[in-house]
Amino acid sequence: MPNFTETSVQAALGIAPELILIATVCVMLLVGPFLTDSAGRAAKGLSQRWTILSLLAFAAAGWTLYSSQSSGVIGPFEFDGLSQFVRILTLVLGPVLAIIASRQIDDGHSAESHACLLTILAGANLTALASDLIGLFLALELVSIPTYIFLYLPRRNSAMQEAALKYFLLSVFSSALVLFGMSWLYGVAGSTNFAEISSHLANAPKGDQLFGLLAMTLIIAGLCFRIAAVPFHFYAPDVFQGVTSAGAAMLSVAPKIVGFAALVRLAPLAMTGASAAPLGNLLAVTAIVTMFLGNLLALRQKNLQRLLAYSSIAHSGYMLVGLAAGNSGAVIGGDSSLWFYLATYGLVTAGLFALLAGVGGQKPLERDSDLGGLGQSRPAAALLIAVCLFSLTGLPPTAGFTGKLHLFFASWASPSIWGQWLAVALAINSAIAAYYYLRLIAVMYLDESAKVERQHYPISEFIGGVCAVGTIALFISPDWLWQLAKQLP
Amino acid sequence: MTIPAIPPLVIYAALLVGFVIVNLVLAHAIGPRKKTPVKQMPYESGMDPVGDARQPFNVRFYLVAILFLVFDVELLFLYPWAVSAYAPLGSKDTPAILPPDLSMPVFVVMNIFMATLVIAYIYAWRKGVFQWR
Repeated sequence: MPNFTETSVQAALGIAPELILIATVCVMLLVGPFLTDSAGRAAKGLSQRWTILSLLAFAAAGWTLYSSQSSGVIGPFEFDGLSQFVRILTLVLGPVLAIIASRQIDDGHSAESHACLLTILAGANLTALASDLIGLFLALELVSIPTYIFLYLPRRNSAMQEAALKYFLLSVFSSALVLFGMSWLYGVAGSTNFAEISSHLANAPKGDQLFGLLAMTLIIAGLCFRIAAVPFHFYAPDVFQGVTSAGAAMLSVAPKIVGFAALVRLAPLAMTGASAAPLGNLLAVTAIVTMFLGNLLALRQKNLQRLLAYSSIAHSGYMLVGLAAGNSGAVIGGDSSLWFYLATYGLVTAGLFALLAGVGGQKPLERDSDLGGLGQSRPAAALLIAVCLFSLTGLPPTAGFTGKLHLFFASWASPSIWGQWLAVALAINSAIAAYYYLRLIAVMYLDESAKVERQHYPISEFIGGVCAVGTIALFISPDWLWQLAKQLP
Repeated sequence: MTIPAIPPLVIYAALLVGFVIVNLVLAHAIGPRKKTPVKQMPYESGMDPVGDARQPFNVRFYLVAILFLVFDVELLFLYPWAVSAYAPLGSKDTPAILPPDLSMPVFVVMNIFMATLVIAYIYAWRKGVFQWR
């Protein structure tokens, strides 16, 4: 048995990027409440200063990750392709989210808000790093508890409070489902370690495998809440509509990374023997229903964030296609294409919300008609928004196209009986989705009814523009990201 | 025809559900029904109920309750550690439950744990949780 102290030090060195983020959180929560004047009001411009500190923390974490040598299983953490991919993804998207959030929170709550954002991203990394059930559940809670606070802090009206409360109640319910499933899994396998659960279930008697199936169904149900997959999508439109665009951007990126990281880690555990077929069916049906419901309901939405919520549901469906296709026997692996798609989707969505937040300024865009005339009044921003919408539709020359193509080929070539059906459903849904994304572009360039002078936030627009340009760059040279995604187990 | 192996978990689950159902049915069927005022009273851990339970009470109590968790969780970990890390006072032959080589690492871990709770405490203090406004 390895020395306890040695293992702890090794594990702590391995998760140094996350520890840096958490240490920054501690600094924010410790120092933040002291930066007040005699009347107890927070210092002016505090939010911007915390944003800069967050960006520095992300840079330091990125640098430590770059120079980190950890690999294999160390203590409760597993350093492999998946965790590496997720960590790079969160450290790239983190600054974008922090910049969107910087203008959408008052100075008095800015320390908590930025601290929550950093904790959420550190939790996302730890979810991908977890190598046993306890670590995974703790990491999941490290994501969800700050999320409640992050959504609640910028509240201005009762709709925002309702949205935060709705998310809180349903998220707690989903955590309970996951925990219940995990306890069944532990009961069957007698271990919390992923490798041991997997080897036990592979050789277990049929009854044990059935309980493994039950456990996995519960866990998948709980995780489907996070990725907003049907039938656990009901909260998404209401919550997205209620929260700020920083909250919506965070909700459409972070829980998806977390949910899929946990799904990719857990689903293969029970995908053996008798439970492989029903679980495959479950994932495939969820994927198809999620895609169709998300896209069809998005067609009639007039509220921008509500529309993007349905779009986020639909994109979960696309990514579930990758998960359902699986990695076996295909040149383009389902999991790899899932992660490639998630990376491009995260970049585009974060960029789109940054642009919308930047264009909206202090009067947030609400209805789709608020975009009217943007093509004339702010041509550059309109063009960048159009690029993001193109990427969400899956049209070239954007990374969204590359991602969808990978997913399509992965599911078409997959040995699963659902493979080609999934591929066809994916294609049909891309066509349906084109209507509502392209309609927004049409509103921007053709509708001149709404001419409201808005004060805009250049820094938000800038970071959104960087993301939009990044999607084009990823279309031109997707190889490095694809190589990273291919290293997944 | 072979009898399929029933996993122990199924038997356990069936026993569990069966026990509950049997108890409920038996209590309903053979239990005597004598209603006395004391029996009809809501049970509040032996106290006589005063007024309606569904009255609103001040939201400040929630802050106190949450703050209580800081100390509660602290105690939850400190107590087992204190019992297991050191040998009983005055006894030379009974060693500590915790192996000696783990003593120092666990001490460090406990200190990190305490430090994070202190952060929570300082945060609560600066945010005015202790002021009864």
